[in-house]
Amino acid sequence: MTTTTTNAGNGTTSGQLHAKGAELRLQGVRKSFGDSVAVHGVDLDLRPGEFLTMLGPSGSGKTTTLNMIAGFLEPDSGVVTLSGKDITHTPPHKRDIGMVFQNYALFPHLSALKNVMFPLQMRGVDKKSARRRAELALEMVELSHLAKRLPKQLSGGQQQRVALARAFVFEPGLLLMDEPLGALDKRLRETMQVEIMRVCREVGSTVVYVTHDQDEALTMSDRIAVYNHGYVEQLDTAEGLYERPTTTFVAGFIGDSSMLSCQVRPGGDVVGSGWHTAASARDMEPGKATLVLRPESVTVRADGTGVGGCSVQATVSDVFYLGSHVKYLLRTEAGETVQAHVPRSEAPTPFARGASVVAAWKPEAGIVLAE
Amino acid sequence: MTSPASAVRRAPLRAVSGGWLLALPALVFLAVLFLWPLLKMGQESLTDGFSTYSDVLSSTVYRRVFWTTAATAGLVTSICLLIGFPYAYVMYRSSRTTRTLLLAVVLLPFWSSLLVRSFAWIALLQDSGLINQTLTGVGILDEPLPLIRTQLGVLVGMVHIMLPYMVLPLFATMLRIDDRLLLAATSLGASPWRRFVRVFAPLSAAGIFAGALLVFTISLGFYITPALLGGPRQTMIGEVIADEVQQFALPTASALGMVLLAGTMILLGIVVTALSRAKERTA
Repeated sequence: MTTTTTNAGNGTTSGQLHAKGAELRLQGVRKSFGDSVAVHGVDLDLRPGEFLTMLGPSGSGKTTTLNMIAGFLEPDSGVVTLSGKDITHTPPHKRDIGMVFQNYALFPHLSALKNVMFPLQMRGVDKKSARRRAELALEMVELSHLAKRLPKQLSGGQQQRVALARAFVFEPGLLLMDEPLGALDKRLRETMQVEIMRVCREVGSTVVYVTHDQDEALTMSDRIAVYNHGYVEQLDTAEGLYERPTTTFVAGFIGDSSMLSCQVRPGGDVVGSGWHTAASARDMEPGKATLVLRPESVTVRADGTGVGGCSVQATVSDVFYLGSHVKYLLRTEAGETVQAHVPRSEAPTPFARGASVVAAWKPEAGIVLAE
Repeated sequence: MTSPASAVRRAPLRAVSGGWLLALPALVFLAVLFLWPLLKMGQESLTDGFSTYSDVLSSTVYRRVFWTTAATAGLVTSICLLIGFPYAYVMYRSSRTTRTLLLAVVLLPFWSSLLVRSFAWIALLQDSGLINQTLTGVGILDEPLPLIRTQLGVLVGMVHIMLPYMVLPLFATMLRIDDRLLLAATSLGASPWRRFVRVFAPLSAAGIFAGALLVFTISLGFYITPALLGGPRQTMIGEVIADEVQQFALPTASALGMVLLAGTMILLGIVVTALSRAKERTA
């Protein structure tokens, strides 16, 4: 039994809903409200089936971008194309994009099943096959047994599943999710992250996901676009953002890090207060810069003997036992803070607060960013 | 963000011991000034036994008046809904200033006396009134239109008075509709019209019901307006009861009142049942 009413859907024979992931492209998309620019010329390019997360603090332009993709807002300039088709000015109800809202936005007067049938009926699918496909979608989010319930009779997590089923039931090429887990508690959020990833993989749609939670972004995404003040600061995989941040904002936003101010000298030597590395920034212009250190690449020693790489004198200003590792906050003589995570196995007797130590790292572990 | 399920829920009053005492003044008021007179009225209607009721119910005159009353109230309710819903919708979609202005316009009738307004309608609608004089004056009509002493006159006067009772509950209900539901409907492929039919209108249903209930029940008891603007064929039950009282036929007047009350309650019962069935079906 197949239904071939939606343009993106390619019907189902195996008791599964499956969409053909669409290619999404944003070119120089810009939006301002009055005098304030919400989104400065954003370029994004999504492969079919890719899971892209827009991550950033609130007000950084990620939701505005999402609303322009959905069609709720028209960009001031720039082009949005979906599967090669220019949709910049297409009204939202003709875009065939599934969307999950932060507060789920389930229709309170309709049962879970009728909510999921809604987009199918809007596309002229006859009632019988709409029903069958909605049941299939609810099955995929493991909610078949609650199909007859009204939204208010469902828990937050269950409502979220209905909202998800409703967004993919018409097999759209693109799924948009606007902080869908924002209203759930931490444990449920983690379960739902895995659930959403599974469903998205099964359905096969391209996904644009908005969140301000970096763990969520790192867990779920193929690639992450980090937003700040209306710009995409960096677009990369989770690993790329963590290992190779290109701005101090990204370095600070993704994972923990210490930032030490420094100078790049002609020839690539990097000199900070109380430390230096030789020729580690050879391709950089001389000038002021910041050294970014991830806490797990910093080791803490009693003295400088046998330290091969870089090091700086510091005092322990705080020690935290975090089970798997010990977290140190160190204060350098210049007053800068260095964070270090030392595995428990390497620190059988941790340093006490106030101890004079040496923080050391390998030159290649430090990321030098120009200001 | 809380889930919609927990968003609008109040702490139960019974947490405060004796909280129901707060309702006591109103309960006493209703018991003394409404329930007691109602019982007295019931007693009065039975002065001559059930024969008064059989007379009232078998009289073709009374039956016709009852029918006119229900039909008029029904028509007024429909017209109020028909023009009140779009009005409330425009208010809902308007900016703050426009909204306040529209609200003031619809509330205007509330601020003047019902009697004054009915007489004002006479001045406008009668054969030598403003409308007919203008129309005959400019030569559009040779004869004045029969605007007064007709059903039309009664409907115009009553709708004018009852419109706020429809618009206000509708507007209040619409204000509570979450905008994001409309966005969701759009993103799921609903055109503006289907979004209205499938989402906005059902979510306004509570307001439609509240408004229609208010307008219909209040309209049933109208007395001055049909008396001034209607003809003999537009006589409503309120006028008949008043006549009977003036002729000291208290048992008949009481029996008519009781029949009106019972009829209204039966009708409402049917409507409420039908609506909750319909709600279950759509869910």
